[in-house]
Amino acid sequence: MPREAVQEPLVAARRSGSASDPLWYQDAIIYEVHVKAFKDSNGDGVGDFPGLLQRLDYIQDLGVTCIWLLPFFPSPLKDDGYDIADYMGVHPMYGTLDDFKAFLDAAHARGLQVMIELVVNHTSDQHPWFDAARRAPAGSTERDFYVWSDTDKKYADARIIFSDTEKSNWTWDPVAQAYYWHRFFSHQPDLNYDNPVVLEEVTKVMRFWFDLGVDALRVDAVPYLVEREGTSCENLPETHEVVRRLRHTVDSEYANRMILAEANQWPTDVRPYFGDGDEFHMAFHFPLMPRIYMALRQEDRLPITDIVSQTPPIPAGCQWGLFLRNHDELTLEMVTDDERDYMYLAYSSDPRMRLNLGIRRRLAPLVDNNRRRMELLNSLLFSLPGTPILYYGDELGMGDNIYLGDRNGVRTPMQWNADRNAGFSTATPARLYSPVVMDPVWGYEAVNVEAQQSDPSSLLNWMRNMIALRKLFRVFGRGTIEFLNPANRKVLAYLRRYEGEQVLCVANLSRFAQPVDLDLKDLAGSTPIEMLGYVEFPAIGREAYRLTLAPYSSLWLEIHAPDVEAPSAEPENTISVAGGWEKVLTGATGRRLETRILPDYLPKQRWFAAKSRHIASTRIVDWAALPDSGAALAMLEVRYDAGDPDTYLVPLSSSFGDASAALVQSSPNAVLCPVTAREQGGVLHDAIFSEAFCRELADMIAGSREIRMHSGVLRGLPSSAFAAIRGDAAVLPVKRGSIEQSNTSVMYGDRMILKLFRHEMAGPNPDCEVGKYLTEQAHFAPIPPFAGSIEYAPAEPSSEAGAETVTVAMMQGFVANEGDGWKWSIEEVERFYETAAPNPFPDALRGELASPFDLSERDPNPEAHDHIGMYMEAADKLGRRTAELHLALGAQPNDPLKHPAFAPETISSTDLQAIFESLRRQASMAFDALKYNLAQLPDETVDLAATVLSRRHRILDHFRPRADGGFHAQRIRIHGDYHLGQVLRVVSNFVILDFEGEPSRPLAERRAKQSPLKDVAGMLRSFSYAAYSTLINYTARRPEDLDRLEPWAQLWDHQVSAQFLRAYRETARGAAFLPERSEDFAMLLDTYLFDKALYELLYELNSRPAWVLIPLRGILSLPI
Amino acid sequence: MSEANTLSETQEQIAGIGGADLVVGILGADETHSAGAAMMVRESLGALAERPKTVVIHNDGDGAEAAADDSFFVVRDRTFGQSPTVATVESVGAAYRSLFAAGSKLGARACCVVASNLQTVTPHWISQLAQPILERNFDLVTPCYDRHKFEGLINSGIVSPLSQALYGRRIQNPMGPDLACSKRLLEKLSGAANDPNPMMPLVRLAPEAIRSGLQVAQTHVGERVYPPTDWVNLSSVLAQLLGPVFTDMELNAALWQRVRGSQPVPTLGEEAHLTESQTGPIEVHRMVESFQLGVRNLQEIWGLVLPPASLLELHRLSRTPAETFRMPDSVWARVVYDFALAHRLRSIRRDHLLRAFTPLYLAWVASYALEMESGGEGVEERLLRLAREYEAAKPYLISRWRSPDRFSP
Repeated sequence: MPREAVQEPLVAARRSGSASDPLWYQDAIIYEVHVKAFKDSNGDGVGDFPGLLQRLDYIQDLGVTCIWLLPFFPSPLKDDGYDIADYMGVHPMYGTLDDFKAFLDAAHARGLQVMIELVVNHTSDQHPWFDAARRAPAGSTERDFYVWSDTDKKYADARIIFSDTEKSNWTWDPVAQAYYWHRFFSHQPDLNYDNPVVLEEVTKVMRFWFDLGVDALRVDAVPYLVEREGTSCENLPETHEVVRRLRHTVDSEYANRMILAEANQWPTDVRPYFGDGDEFHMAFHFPLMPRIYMALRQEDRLPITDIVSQTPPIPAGCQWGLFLRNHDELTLEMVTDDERDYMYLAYSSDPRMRLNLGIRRRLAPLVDNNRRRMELLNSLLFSLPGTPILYYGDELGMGDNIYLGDRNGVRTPMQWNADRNAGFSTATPARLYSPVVMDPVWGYEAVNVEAQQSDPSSLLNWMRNMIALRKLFRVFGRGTIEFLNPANRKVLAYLRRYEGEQVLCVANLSRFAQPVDLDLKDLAGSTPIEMLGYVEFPAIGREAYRLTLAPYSSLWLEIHAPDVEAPSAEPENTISVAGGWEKVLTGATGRRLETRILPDYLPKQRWFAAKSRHIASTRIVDWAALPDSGAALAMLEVRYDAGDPDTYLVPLSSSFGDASAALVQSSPNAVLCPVTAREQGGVLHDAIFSEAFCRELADMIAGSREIRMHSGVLRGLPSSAFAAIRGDAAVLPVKRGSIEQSNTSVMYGDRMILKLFRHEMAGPNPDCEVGKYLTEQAHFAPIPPFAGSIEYAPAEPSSEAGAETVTVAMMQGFVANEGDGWKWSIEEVERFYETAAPNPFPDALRGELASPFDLSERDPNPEAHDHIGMYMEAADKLGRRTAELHLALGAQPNDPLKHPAFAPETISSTDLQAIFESLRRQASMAFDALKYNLAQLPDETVDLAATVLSRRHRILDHFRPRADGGFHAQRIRIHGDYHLGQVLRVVSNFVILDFEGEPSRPLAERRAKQSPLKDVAGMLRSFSYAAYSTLINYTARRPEDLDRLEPWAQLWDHQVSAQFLRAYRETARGAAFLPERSEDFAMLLDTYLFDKALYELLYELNSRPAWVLIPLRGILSLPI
Repeated sequence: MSEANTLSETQEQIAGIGGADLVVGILGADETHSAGAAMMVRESLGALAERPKTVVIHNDGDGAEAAADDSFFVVRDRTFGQSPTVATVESVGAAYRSLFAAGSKLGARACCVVASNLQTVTPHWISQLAQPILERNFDLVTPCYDRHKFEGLINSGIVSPLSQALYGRRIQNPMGPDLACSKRLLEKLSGAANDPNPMMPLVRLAPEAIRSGLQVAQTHVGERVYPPTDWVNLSSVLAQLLGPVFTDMELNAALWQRVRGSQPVPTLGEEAHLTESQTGPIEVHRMVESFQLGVRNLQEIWGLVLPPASLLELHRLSRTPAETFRMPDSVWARVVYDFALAHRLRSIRRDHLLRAFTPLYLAWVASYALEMESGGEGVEERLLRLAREYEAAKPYLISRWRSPDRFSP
């Protein structure tokens, strides 16, 4: 749950709350208390403020930092106080306003903040405002304090929330002779925020409590403040305006206060309630809570990781409120129907346990009073991103009483000791506002504060320890979260990070012991320390970190980074560069670089591909000092414990003074070690951070310069187009690319971009080779034009760096663009769903869901075209561009002897045989993996997976070469890794990028000639991904839309694919590289589509189970 | 001799001065030695590169008026501090607080406190403490006194090694009492003005400077005349000092639990040659007897504080003849840590707890004295070894702090 950038706090003369830190709520632990349920001081059977004050020491000892009080205002108590009859008073049952003030002062004296309720969506029907309104003439200000109507048909799209008790959101008032609007009970009329006087009055209420010293307000039922016809009357822009005005009052008049939104909505719908940091400080995260219980019962982390990954970033200064249980039912509004059914079956065996859309039980009974489960859930509550909220009594494992009505079963008196009435009250038991829990398991004689305080092993003492521990680390309240993805899904593991603090949380959701291998190689060298016992665990290495977890156990591990010493404190790591590169890169210093410094440096680089392999040794096999920039280029051979060695290009430079300090601060991973020269301290670093080095590379190409290295030669080679691409500007500003990948890029103004290839492979680099060919030979325009390269030629064929020339860098012309094709497509598909979502799928378009190939053989359907809109033109353009690319690459070179790598070749029957064999191997592997993971897949995916598996033999049989021998087509050089992310959207068109192929594959494979239909299949699968991944994200917020939108997704996917194919086939018609017969075209295309879908299936099974349905649908859509 | 101010008169006078670069408080002034205090401060300014506008505050004395001019002011406030030899913890804390409040009011770049007996204080002390703040951008400068074996043992045996282990800086006297601090540090401490801890801000200076990433140095000032050890009221002295230290430890838990190891701080000035100790002989036998009495009588309280392994060690130690009596540093460090933890947990009433600590402290002093008398190791080396044990036992402290289950070894 990341946060956006920090917003400057407002500073003015404002009344401060009791906290000194304006962000106190981010580190808070909130304790939710009902005054009536906590302690009765006067023996009338109802808890009160003096009683609560008496028990403040207990709350302080527990370690929580903020008390949240449920409504205590004068009220007829038909909804436990959420029906308020006087906003500025205290219900006489609970004491007086002075009692409240005394409690508030005592809480503050103990360092506790206090949050109370601001219930201003509605009032009680006993509130004087309502009494006045119903008697006032229609249209008057008094009348308009509430929402009236002559009919009960207005706002028909608003759902009924308390569906068990209310049949309508309107109730007839015989006095007013009109219906009044209420989103909750009929005795709670909604206030009318279209009347400006209402907001003024509500603001007065807010000021009243803040002026008394209250630190925070929980604003009840926020989404429903404003109503509008034709909407769901939830989350309306006008509601946000109301909130912003309240917040403005808070910020301008008060300091260190907080307002919290109760909005039982999907996180993406709650996100707007944070605004730009100008609405609520906090909001509850409702959907997380049921999913924690679901994950526990299913022994699968997915429900938690899924919901957290769908939680958008919130502005700095904002915070989520997390809870396991509260005073209401365990709400299941924010789950799908299937999930709700599962939760009912799992957690409410007795129908009496259910209420509205939820389960009215406390924490301990929900988990069958299992201590380890309670500890596990609380450890998740305390370590997931947000502020934890505890419900009174859950720290003891208190039980509930399902035989009491409504939600009263979880609002029974606090169990203080084994005396009469659980020590809550001295009243006769019959006078208590609620019976205490008395059964043998949960009753107050078994579960109470006194017993647990005297039991060192009690849940209460465990909770105190955990709360104290959490408070020591701000990372829990303020840090980022990154989930790990171990193969064992019964284990939930995540890293929390904040300002240098790193904590690894690992939880076993299973009732049995579980092993887990964690990929922690990015933390190699660090030491985990179990936080509760301060136990040092074995250091993290580059191999998987193995833990064995007891049933339902959780571990918090503080990650201690290897001690990083300041340069002056670690002289053995400091090298002198005063004697020039010769002394740095050779001799004893060179050996220190090779043995100690480079093996530490390489794994920290994004471009270093072998992070999972252990470096056995490194050796500088060739190097040169660059005369203009003072940098050096080294060719480094890296050997591993197993497997073939690699060669990497390592450019080096040194900086001193402020420049070195700035680099250490901004890019610490770019630094190899401290250096000294002439009594100056500095650092040795990646030369790409030196502007002079970047300029020298460009100058080498421009001037065809040659630099002799110690054994080989570096040559700058400009293309014929270099001068035109470079332009006339005297100096081009240099800027290092912000996205680090396998290569490093440098921009030269808006004219050129240089790719520095780090992993060197002997032989022509395909990116360079194809770019050069297309620019200079084929004159194919829609690519970034090739401007030149820097090649490294070993001295002789036996040279250790390899016999063939190595491409070190490539310069291209820069293409102004609107972003890559993937991002642009996703935005288009989102717009398509927004338009399509309200509409049922037209029957007339059912026929348009045929396979893209079949659709491509006929004219586009105008209605389907209208629905999809401009993307159809884009697909057409992209199909033509792709065909043109293949025509350029498939044409016979003018001089085949000079360009043999581009001469087309016939696809033989042996080639076809090999394609099918490879495909069948891949299919077997993918189907096995699918079968193995079947039980772990999301429900909506299991059916699809089973269908695919049931067709396994049919599918494998289908992909066999036919024996009729009439197949004719060619293989040519292709893009090789073609998808929407490899094209740039430029004005109404596309530019094709990156001919490097898949960088992890061997060079020979990446340069192999293949059927261009592989590229076509790659793009068709990319369309599918755009359609379905957007659908998954879109319907995560609105699961009910999934079935309705699925045919729309299919329509978009098939129509766009068909249009692409249509344009492609039309443009490339008659090309020798395409199979002559239509059925051969379809067969080869299907083969590549299947191959790509299998690759995706394996990938998604390992990393994103929720997305497995995308390749599964792809496989099932093949005409088999 | 003119009349000294009341508090309100002092505030008025300070308001009248307006601003200053340096504020020097002389807590150790008394009728015998205060007469030249202001002159001494004035003399110390000669060692500074530029003469700062200076305000001297002290509680009594004479002859100061002669030193005053446009850039040198003397404020005499009878409510301001007394010599620590006779002061209560509350009055010492109050003196620092009022001095720092005056420093803040005057916007002083540096506040310097001289709290030691003026018998050995020289102008050099003041310049040594103030100069690093005014001219070298340090934020806290604490003193290094020429060490004698048996002086300042509460600091040497508890406060200093505890501070080093907790906060990771090797500071010989983290609580001064002679010290100087910067305006930046004063600003950081302003939030603690209402802290009920009676030793505030003295107890908070080093932790706050470290927490805020401010620069800390210590400086050699020379020999200090320590107040004679009040063996009769030792329990009260220990309780007055350790209570605030342990309380502050609780407040700073999130800070010190992240610190690993320790680093030296820059040590300025030159170490002087040690003179012979003026301290009388330590009555080891009586200390050992007190400890043995404690083992017999305080078993119940110690049992609530110390785990069985430590209790067993103490039992063994109580049976050791006085001549070979040695308390291992590792045991001592754990004992201190366990008392700090019990203080946090309120296992028993805090005043009872701290008084129950006295026989254990006496046991350590006895053990230390016997070791030092047997020769072979210098004071610095010995105390360095002790500090290392405190550091080594820190994981024990953290684990017990976080998981204070009595069922521990």
